[in-house]
Amino acid sequence: MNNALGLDVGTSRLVLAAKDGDAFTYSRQLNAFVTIPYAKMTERALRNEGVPYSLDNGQILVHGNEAARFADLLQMETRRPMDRGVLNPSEPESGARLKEMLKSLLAGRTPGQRIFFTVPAAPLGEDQGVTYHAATTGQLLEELGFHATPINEGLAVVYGEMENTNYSGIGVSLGGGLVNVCLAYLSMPVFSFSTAKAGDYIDSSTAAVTGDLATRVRLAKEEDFHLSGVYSNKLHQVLAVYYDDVIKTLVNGLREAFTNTRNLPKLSRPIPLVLSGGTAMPRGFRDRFEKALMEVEFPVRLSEIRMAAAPLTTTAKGALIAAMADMEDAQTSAARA
Amino acid sequence: MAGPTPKVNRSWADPLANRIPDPVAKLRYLRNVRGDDEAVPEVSRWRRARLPVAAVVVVVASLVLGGTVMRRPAKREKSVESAAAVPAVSVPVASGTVHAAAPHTKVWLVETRGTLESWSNGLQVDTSLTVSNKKRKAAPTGIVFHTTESQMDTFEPEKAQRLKMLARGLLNYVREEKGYHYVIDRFGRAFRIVAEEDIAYHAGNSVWGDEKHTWTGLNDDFLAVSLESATRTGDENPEITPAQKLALRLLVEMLRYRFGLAARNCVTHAQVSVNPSNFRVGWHTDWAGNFPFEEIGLPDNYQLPLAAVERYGFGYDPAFFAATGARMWRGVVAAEDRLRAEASRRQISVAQLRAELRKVYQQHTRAQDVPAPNQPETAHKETH
Repeated sequence: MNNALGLDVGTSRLVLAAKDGDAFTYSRQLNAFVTIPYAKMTERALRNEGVPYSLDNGQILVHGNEAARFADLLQMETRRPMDRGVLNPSEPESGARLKEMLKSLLAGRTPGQRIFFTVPAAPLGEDQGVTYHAATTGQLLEELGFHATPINEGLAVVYGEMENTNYSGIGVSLGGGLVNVCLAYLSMPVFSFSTAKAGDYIDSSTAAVTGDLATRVRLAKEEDFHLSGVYSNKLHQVLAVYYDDVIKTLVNGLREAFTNTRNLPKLSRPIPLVLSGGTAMPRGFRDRFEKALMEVEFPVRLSEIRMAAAPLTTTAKGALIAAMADMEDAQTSAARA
Repeated sequence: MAGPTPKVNRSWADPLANRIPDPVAKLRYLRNVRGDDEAVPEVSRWRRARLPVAAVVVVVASLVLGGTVMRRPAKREKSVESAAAVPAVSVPVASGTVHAAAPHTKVWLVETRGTLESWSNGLQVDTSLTVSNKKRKAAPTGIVFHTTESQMDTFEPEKAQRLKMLARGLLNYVREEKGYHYVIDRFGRAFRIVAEEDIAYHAGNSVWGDEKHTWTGLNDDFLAVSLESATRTGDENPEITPAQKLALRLLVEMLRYRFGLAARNCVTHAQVSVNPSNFRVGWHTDWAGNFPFEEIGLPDNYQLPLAAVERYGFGYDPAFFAATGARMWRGVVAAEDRLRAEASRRQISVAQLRAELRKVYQQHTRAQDVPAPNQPETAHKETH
């Protein structure tokens, strides 16, 4: 097993990538939890079922993948340690909750391993930094015994998907809290930004219209929704409306960023744009996005717009590749010394 | 962007990277090529913040090994004296490269009629605007090629008067600023502006080196030849006329013969220009990747390692990356390779070596009273 790890710290999911021989392996956790009243019987049942949980102030906190199932069963909303790509300011113990989930995800990994974890870019047009989020997440990972380094989420998409263009192109990660975009040229990030309308926006906006819980909307969206233009029920119709809104915001953001960025590289060839992330998963998303992008005057020639080979794991894979490169650099330096 | 999505061309951008099949190895190559301390901003910032605040003691004395850095004074009068006090310092020095320098062709002055010199290779030099400036201390060592970055118009017969007017305005400006020794206008007319025995203010913050010497502040040691043109970025073809190219070839031939200039010391402004305030190369990017070296009888000097990167640990940023073409990156790669080899030889990290070399640069320039790091070149009568 390689000693490097890649971790996609998304608002809705945590994805861990590792290399086992020649193969990339992934493990995932929903980045959410639910609280249920403490009862001895409940705790025993959870323990027997192997459900990850922790105790806090007389409550049981169920983390990760099981949180969604419990939320659906109990008709309650999941709670998130993160919001819009960074630690959730309205969740008082967000750091502690995230640490629990990281601990669960990293169980069995050898402390001391090098881990690259993703951080979002600043929102477009805002100077809001992600320093606190990056430092805190890094600290949590260090406390768990790992050597942690942050990497821009959009850049991780480039590293995960654009080997064929020598890591040149536009990586777009459509997550729960944010859409992250990064233009890289020969592996170097030229600029990056994020937009705040992403998966959670679709869920909460749709839920407000249909009266469903956002958690239920997300489950429905991930199970059988597709952007075909023909919708069988109202939920799907509303989802399509908000998907279009997200796409429009992203396209406008791309156009604005590329038009206003100084020192844009003089690209002698068209570059690819790769879409990844759970929000890009519904069938028809790529076509819808391409159509929207063609309707505006986008200043950069694109060779292709395609979905990532594995949209849910690309970012983690890219972070892993960066970590492996970093580790091999360090080993080379150490050998020389 | 088209509807169908064509396959991406695998020959994209970096031919060396294309030959690396392993994604991790490819990423390492590309990241190292651009410099260890120029890594992903978000990553490196955070990582640096976590490092213990260890004092980086740069033992400059350890570098003082009786080496060969040669420094010529910058433009200010008083710096000439202080230059003598600069210790000789050993830094990595480029060995001979793939250069096949064209032999010097004998060129002599045939006649002077009024203000027009005729040279034996067909070159004609207009001296009607020549001015004097501060005398240089020694014969020139090389040439720095510039573009004038002046207003351009389409090169068409009906625009002849306007083109002449633009050239005249430009020449007067260069004369006033004592910016270059020679300017070649778009009709291929060569004008000597600053007398060859005097310095011109063309490359204040700059670094270059050959097998034996390293120069900082090239105004004193290098002649400046500028073409009336505007910078094109990256790999775009240069916007110079065939007449300019011909005149340039003749002029370079004449200068190289008369002053015995080595071919490897005939380089472009983008190759030598630095910004000491952030230790980045490419403060100016004229002729960053599209200078017609071969067409004017010189080897492809873009292959030479950038002395600022190799010998003083300068880095580069996205702006430089954006402005330069693939040709110039060969020089950057060559410089990086040498830097890494030197770090390996001394058993220190590249970052440590860079830090040391930057200290050395600061020592040199401070001793020589070169422009303060936060002063742009333009504050020192640079024409650009």
